[in-house]
Amino acid sequence: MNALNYASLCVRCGKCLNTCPTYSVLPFETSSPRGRLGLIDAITTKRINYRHALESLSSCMLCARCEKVCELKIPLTKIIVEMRHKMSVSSTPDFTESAIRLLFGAPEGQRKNLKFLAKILNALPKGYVGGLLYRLLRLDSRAKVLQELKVKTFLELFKQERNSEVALFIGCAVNYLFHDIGASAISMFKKIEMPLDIPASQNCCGLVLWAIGDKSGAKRLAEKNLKVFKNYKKIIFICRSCSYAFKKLYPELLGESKENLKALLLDATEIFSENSKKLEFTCSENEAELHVACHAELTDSELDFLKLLKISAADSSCCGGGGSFGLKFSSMSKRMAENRLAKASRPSILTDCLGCHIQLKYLHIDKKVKVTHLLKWLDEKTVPKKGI
Amino acid sequence: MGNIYLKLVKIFGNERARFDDATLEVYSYDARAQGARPIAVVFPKSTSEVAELVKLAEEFKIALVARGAGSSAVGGAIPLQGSVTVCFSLMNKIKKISTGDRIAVVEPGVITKDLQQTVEKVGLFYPPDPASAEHSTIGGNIATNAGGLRAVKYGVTRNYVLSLEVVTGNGRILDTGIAVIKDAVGYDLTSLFIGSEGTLGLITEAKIRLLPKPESIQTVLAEFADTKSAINASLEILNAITPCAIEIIDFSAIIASGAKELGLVSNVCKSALLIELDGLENQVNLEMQKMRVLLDKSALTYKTAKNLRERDVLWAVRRGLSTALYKKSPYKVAEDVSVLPSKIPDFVSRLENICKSLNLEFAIYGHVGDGNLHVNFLPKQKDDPNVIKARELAFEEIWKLGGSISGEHGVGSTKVDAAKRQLGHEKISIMRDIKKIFDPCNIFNPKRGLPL
Repeated sequence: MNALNYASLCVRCGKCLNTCPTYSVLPFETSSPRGRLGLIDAITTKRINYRHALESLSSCMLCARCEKVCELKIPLTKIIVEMRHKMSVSSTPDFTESAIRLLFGAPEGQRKNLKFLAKILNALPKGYVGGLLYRLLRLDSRAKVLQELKVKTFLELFKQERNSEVALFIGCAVNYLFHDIGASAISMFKKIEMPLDIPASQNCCGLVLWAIGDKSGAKRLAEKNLKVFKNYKKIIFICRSCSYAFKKLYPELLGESKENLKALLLDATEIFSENSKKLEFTCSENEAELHVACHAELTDSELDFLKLLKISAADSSCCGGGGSFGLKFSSMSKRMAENRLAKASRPSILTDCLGCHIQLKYLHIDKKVKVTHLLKWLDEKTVPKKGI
Repeated sequence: MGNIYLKLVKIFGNERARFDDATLEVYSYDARAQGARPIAVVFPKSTSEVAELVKLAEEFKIALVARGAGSSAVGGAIPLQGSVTVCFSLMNKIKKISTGDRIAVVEPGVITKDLQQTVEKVGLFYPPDPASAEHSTIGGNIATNAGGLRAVKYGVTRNYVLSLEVVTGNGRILDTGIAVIKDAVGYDLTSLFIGSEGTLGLITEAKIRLLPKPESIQTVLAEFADTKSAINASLEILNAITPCAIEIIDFSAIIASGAKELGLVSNVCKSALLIELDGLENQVNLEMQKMRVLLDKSALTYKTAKNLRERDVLWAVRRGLSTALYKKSPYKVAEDVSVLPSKIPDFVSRLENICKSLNLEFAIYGHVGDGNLHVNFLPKQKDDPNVIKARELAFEEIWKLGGSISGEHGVGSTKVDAAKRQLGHEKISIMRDIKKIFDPCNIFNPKRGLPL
């Protein structure tokens, strides 16, 4: 069955409406999962031209919250991406899509564009970067994240290839922007005495390409990653979106039957919760909460671990980041972040998805709330247990 | 006259007056039916905008169809040819919660669950709880007099609406009553608007009565050997105590719900009752004791939810039933008949006979505690004539048993003919006169809700 035909299975009950981050800030049917499915059905049955549905379909954040409540288990994200794929074939990509293809499409080692950009931005005085991009490209304060862009990538600086059984998947944000988060990850693995490889030739996970409908680009990256990681027993992720790509997207892109990854795919919190006995904590009550990313599915042992760290992990609303969504639908995205930050019940919000991290940290909406990556926080709050 | 589109834009602005293809397409249906595309969809933010819209609609003789979440189970929110859809999703503020008097003032687009959760944070309780509470709106609940899961003990939406602000014919803004618990002056206009399905005017604000939040809750899932014994058990329980909810789920619905896969019921379970008790802790414990005695005799087995999470899982299964049954038949037709609880055994056995004679599968679930059952016909093919026949025969039996063809969904567009038979000429004529008073130009959801 063609993915698009699943759209006709929707019985329009409306249960998905209030799970949808875009509907929560713009409560129009066109911003809802039910509306999007209705439009796709209308396009496939030729009741409407796809051009009229572009805005609605491109505003889906692919968070998959609607899929979790759908009684009929309609694979909405798969349908949307299939539709975007079809639309991208038959129309010229917009600026954001072209930029994404340019920056993320090339495999690691060939991303001269990003390096070139980094060199220019590094040559500028720090404070100017955000302001300049704001004026030139009409980006908002999130553009300031580009101040962090490094000329030398994390993988160039910190690659480790010692034939260990465990490998760390870095992801683009750490590789190009947040070396400190990657360094915290390495430090944490040292604390639990787990030897770790960081393969230098790993690539972008491909999620962002998939999200704009570039299925072949995403598949290319997936295949390359599979090759790089095929001999490892465990792959650990720093970012929930990257792990989502490996766990959910790759089987779909590459087919379950194919020689697939045999490795155990684990989020960093999972591995540290398994090894929590090797660590000593210095956390105090009511200090921090975890922003639970849309793509995260916290296991019971992770929840126990967070309890041990005195971190609350209430079900969070979406931060509004969502890949290119923040660029294309800036004001909607900003309102989501505002709503999320307004719900903060602790002085620190911890993130474990780099998309959420950039969104919440660089929008600078509520400066009273400190946004830190979970691993960085963990690294500061833990020491290896003595006598082990 | 001028151009209707320009005038709509003048009232609502470009953002909130939509005529684009995509918008018109996605507002052409609701949870039950497909209608025509509206000529426009507007999203008011204030009562005065609604009043201006009504005047405009009267001037242009354009029908207005109100819409909350589009979750109507009877096609009550689908547009008519040439109509304008008035979607209240942006009028979604809880304006005030008065804890001392236990009253909330809300706009119609507030999601029912949002109201429930917000008042619970300050120790209060909004009892009406339609299965669609997670997405349906208060405005829609009032317009259909929604019932839901807790009606056994707490009644329906009507029992919690103290007063309404509505916009009726000529753009008149009307307060239907005084927001006090007791008011004996004049006709009860508030009640008239509750359940009027958008045919008399547009609700723009509601003053809602609240209760103190129950201290303790116990939720029990009991398994039975067949539907009949589950129904009899529910009647016995109702004779002894008044639970907050008693829901029945028959075998077909259990299968569709996935409760077996979730490990919620055993393999021998052929029918189930989901029962909830609430109130003061001691009282709930006493009621629980009484109920245990009865269930020990009648149920195959039963278990109590140990914590909130287990309770949520049970209710999520129940709330998802209506949609889950589409897995059994994509062409299912759902009805929500209502009889006195004592007549339920009779009705169910008659329904079984009807469906057996027509070789038609069906499922029953719903509010057995208050006599409101969701009968779902599950045909194997689209537009199965046997469904129409079964539906008619089932309605006949309902009337013979002194019941109503709708307990909580309303008439909408799918039950107009049946409502005509139920109401009879005299009542319809009175209702027609009433509608003329509030809606002289016949613009409010015409041809819906009322057989005119």
